[in-house]
Amino acid sequence: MNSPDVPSRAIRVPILTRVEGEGSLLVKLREREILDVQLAIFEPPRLFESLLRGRPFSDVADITARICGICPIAYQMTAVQALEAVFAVSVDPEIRSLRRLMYCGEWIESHALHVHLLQAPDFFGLDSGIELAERFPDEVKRGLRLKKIGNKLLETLGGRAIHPVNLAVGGFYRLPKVAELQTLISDFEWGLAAAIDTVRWIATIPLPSIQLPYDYVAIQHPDEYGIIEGEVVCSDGLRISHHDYEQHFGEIQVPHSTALQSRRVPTGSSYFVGPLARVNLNREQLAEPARRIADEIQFPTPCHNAYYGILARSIEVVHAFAEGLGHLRSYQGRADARVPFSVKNGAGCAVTEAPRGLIYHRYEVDAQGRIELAKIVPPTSQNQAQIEGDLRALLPSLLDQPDAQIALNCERFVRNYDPCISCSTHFLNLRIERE
Amino acid sequence: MNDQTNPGAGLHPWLMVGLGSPHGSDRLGWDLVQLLQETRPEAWTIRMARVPTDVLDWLEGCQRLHLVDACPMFEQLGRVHRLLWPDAQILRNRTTTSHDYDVPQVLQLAQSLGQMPPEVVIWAIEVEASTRLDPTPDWMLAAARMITSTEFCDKAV
Repeated sequence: MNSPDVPSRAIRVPILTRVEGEGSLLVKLREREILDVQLAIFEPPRLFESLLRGRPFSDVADITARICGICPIAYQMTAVQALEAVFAVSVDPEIRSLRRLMYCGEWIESHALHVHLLQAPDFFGLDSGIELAERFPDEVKRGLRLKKIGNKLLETLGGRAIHPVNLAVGGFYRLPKVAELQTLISDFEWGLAAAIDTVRWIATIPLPSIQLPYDYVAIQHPDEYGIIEGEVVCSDGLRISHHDYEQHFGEIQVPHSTALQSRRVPTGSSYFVGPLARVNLNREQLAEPARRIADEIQFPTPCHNAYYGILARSIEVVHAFAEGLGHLRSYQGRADARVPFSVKNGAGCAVTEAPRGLIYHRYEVDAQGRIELAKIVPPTSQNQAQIEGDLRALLPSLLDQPDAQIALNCERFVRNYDPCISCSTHFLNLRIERE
Repeated sequence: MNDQTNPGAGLHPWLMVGLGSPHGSDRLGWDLVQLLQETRPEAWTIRMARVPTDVLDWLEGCQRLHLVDACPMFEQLGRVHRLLWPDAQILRNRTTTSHDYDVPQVLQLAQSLGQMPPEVVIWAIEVEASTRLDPTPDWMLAAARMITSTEFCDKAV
């Protein structure tokens, strides 16, 4: 143990770049001892859960969509499905297929953006996607076109590009015409081949080597890659119904962050959600082209290297195009847009897989269909404690570096998680304090 | 790779994009382009973007790109700035953004990829974070009239 008389140093990343939202990182050191690591989220809480109280259930999807501009579908879908649980609504298989297709669109646009513009520059020692575009114009153009296809699908199914409005309790407000979806098939055929080429390109990038003991958490479904429903499974063997989520995962307030941090109950340990968790836990259920490319690049399973998140994300883009293509080709537009149901009081919850990881919603509703209680647990809240824990593990290997380089490497590491700080409260500044 | 998509589909030769979010006065860009929708000549397409990178989806075939966005108030509420890219003032006065890439970065990226439209104009309107936009304030209507008279009447029609 070092003497407290030895001066400590603080390394600060005052604003984390190329992440969604605003936050900072503080690392406190005394010689080689790491005193503290704080992922500080200082955006004010948005209080969405309170804002929903007293509102009619039909407002929930539209309001929760505004939590995030990048992944509104995740919030809408989880909300709608939790409310369907309250009202005992079971949707038509064709509606379910359209919902999975919609989610594929959100994964494509979010993952393609993160892979190409937010994270790939890190692995080439470049400062931004602008420099990456100068060095790899064809690859960046391809990535942007993939993203564009995802957005195009969302606009078709969601009714509009900004905060889609089409998802409803019981189904959709309006079903797409068969011809509308068929026009997307050629885009998806191109996208599938382009996404496979992207995985091959990313696989040529030498990724840093690190092995950490991760507790991965994702939803798992017996018949499909877990996206919109399933049991909650952990790499330590826990398998629970989503109804029991709150018995095993709890949120705590930490002084340095306006976002709640989610931990395992009762151990209080951190856990890891997102594409890397999903590919680790559900690799065998990836669509065949995604499984094949994962085998071709020898993606390791289990994989305990967070830097491989970029590969997992790229593999999931392949999955989303392959699965999406199936939904597009099979759509016949035969279902009614919405299943009729009766409003009643009760409680219901749902889990889905947002691009950044598992998301949980629970609602209590009165007999008139007004929201009495809302609980929303976004992916970044669940990953925050894991990010801090990872940085504690990573920092000893960085301590001989100048503070600015430590800050840069920490910031790059945080981007493995594609944190959406806006969602969790809701950018990152790094500060290192050396006593 | 077999490219079977229709590259000409959905082209917007003259494109005006409102940038914004639903939070506070950040929705100014959205609200303003919605006002402009009514006076828009047919040649113009109006869209709203959640984040500046959305704009990259729409640059194919684009000849004139106009971006409408809120900027921090430093002189007068509702003061309108018409900035022609590349404008040193935009690069000098970059502000922190919670978006992954801000407007200047997105435009620089478009330049790197050879996708920059020949004409790029940024309409920046001064506003404070807490400024109320509902009901539509007079200064916002004045800003819409200024954009309309400058772009939709003099040159665009």
